[in-house]
Amino acid sequence: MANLSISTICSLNCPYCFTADYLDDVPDGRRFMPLDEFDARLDFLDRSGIDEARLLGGEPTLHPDFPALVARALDRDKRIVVFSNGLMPNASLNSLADAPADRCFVLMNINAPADNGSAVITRQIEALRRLGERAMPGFNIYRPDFDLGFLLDLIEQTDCKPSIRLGIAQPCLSGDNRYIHPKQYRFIGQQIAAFTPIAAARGVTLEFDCGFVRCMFTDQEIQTLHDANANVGWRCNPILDVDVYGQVIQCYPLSRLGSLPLTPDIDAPALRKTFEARTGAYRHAGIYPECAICPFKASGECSGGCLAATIRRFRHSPFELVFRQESAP
Amino acid sequence: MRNIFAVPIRDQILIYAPLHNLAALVSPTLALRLRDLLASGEPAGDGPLGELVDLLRDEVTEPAPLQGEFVPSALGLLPTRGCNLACRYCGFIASEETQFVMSLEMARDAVNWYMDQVQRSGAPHAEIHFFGGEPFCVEAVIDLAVHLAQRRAAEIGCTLRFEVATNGTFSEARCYWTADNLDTVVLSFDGPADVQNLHRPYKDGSGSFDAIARNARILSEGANSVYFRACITEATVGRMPEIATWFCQEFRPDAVSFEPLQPTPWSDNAGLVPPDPWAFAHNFIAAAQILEAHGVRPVYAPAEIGARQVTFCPVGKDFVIVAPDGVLTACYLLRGEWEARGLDLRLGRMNTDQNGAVQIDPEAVESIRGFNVHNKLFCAGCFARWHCAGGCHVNHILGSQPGDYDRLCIQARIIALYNILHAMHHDELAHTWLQDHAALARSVWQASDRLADRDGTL
Amino acid sequence: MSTAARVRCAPGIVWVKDTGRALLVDGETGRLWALQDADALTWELLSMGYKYTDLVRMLALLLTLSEDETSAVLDDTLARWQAAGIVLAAGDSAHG
Repeated sequence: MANLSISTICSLNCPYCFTADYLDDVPDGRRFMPLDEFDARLDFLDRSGIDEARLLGGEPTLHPDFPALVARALDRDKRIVVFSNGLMPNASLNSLADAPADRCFVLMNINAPADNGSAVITRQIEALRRLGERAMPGFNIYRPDFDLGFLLDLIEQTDCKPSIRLGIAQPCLSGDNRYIHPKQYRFIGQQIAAFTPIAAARGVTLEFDCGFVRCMFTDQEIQTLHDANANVGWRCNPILDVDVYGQVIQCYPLSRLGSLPLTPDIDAPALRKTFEARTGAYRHAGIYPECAICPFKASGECSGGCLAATIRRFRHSPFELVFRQESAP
Repeated sequence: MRNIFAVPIRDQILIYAPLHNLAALVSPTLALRLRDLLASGEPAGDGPLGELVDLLRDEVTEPAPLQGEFVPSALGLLPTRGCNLACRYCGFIASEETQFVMSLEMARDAVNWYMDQVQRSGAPHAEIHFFGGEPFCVEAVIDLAVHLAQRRAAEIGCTLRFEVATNGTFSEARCYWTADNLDTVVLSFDGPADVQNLHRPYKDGSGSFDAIARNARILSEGANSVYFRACITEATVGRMPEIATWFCQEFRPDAVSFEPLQPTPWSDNAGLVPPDPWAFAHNFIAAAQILEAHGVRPVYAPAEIGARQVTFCPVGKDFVIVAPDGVLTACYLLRGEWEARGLDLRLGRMNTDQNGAVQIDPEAVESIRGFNVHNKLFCAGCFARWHCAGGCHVNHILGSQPGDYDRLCIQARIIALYNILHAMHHDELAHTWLQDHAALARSVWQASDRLADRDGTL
Repeated sequence: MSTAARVRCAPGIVWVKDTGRALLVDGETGRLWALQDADALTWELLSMGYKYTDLVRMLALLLTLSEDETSAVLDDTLARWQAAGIVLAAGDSAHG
């Protein structure tokens, strides 16, 4: 998989946004991917054997040529996946609503109503209603006092796909965004486990984004999640992000580890291999000290959490020591 | 029936039997019926009342003072009584005890002795606490003790836990080390800059806020547990909810302990006054709700209803604290404080001239085990007796008459009752009760909470 | 005669303390070292900025070695780490 970033601007300013480092570092000027570069992006997907065009931003639907991008991707036999906040211009919304349902999917990230206000949630509900089965809500947990209940009402109101994609806000390497610290995971896990049967009773299933860890749930809670058909996983698979300048980063939270240019001959596996060589050593650790002796991490069942959160545990110690060396008289 | 208590909560009676792990809300009539049935031994029949009677007739064992062979339950090390701060309420700065600094050899010998005791007793767990003054004023002692104990624990095959009580003004490198190595860091942190700098300045008068805030952020990122301990005065009691919110937004503590100011001559001189206990209890509860919503544990230690203990602190728990001059004590307060109350809390001493040999005085052990709530008759009728156990043996002066409750008793009773109702999921009742001043006063001022002592007016 | 040498942590080295080890990564090359036991202990104390004599004294107490033995062990450790690129020479100054 690879994500194509087509916009650096967004209509919201979510405190947990994991593009914080990237947007701080990116040169000013280019707000959108130029339309004439999109074919080269699709060529990259083709030679990488990727059949999805995953569009993200910023807010991707703000791209002035968004309908044309969707049309081109569909012409190239791609399935469209859009990561949106739901505040879409009409033309963008129409282009997605008119796309074949089996080739279009919108993950709409929705914050708690108190965070964005009623005008925002009203527009998000309208967009979900228009998109129906093409869309499902996503919710990023960025503080411990969260409540998912409103999403169940929202799903019933809109007839969208009856699932909730749950993410745990992860840190950028700078830590400048809001995120959940691993020591808070257990508390978060308890709340998710308590919510799961409530959601299931209303026909709603949960899907986990990357960055969850197994030990944030008890065995009994994991059984509860399975019983409710939740799609759980304890993975961290950085998905390549191609930015509006044609630079590839390992994933947004890791943007400060550097980028590689998207050259005409390179494909996703080669890029991934290069990035993994840079960061593979950090994978020996996890988000907790105990990850070093965890059988689930050793077996690969659990990744040990988000790589960015893991790397943030490392530090440089600038010590200097004067010592003696024996030498011949 | 002596461990079954009945406390009025508005128009209901809270039947509380901590040793039965039981709490129930009943009508006053039912409470009297319950009392009579328990006293008479008559059959109670079927139904909820019968079930309650059956449960309360179960024999329970009261927590008992330690007896028999002395096995240290934990080791406390006082690297120094000195400190780099001059907190306005603290008397340590004026104490002669600050001149002593623990040597590395003493720390080594103390740890080796303690780990030998753990090995000999077959205990599966060892625990070492660091107190001060400010223990990190003598960092090498802590480094030595931690690394030595870790090596010894690995040899013995026991688990090991470290805890430190610190002012948190150490260097960034030390802060990372602390986050890496110490399981629990109890950070004295009184709140936002204006409060922290007023209460807890450096000796030169400059504020300590910037250093502690930086380190609290680093510790928040660590894997260890971080407890903030905030001293509350009359001036800050109304700000407790604000302080709780600020702690949660700015940091990630695991727990926040609010402690009302313990007045001292130094706090008097600084114009710092203890909070009104009723206001403290109300604001603690408001702050607790904020903390809990963020997954942070609120702590007011005397009202911890999970505790079943005969003594509130290390005293009487066979906890050995090594002072920098080699005196072994049961209490981490300044020796001068307990001596001024006519108490002797020494357990023995380390003889540094005899290869660190440790001498525990058996008579002192027996005497110190006698500091327990069984010997605090004032507490006999209080529903919270197994939780707060009468509080600090040095500073909490108990009343002479039943019901002669002081500030600590008042706030502990209110908060403990709230905690019980909260645990029973009766939050709505709890809040109505807290707003009903007359009802609250009836709950607090009851001279004996024992069900057996309740008369027909219950 | 002995010479005084100065070593410093290589600038690309970052590390973390995990259960039972200190894990060092060279952020530039991706090389990895997992230090254990006395090596991990030495690394931790170095990271705290211990001076040589204090470090020797501390390690001697912890490893139950004489200070001379500890000094030899420490010098050997530093030489190994210098060869591995974990620490770098930071300017020599000879004295007799």
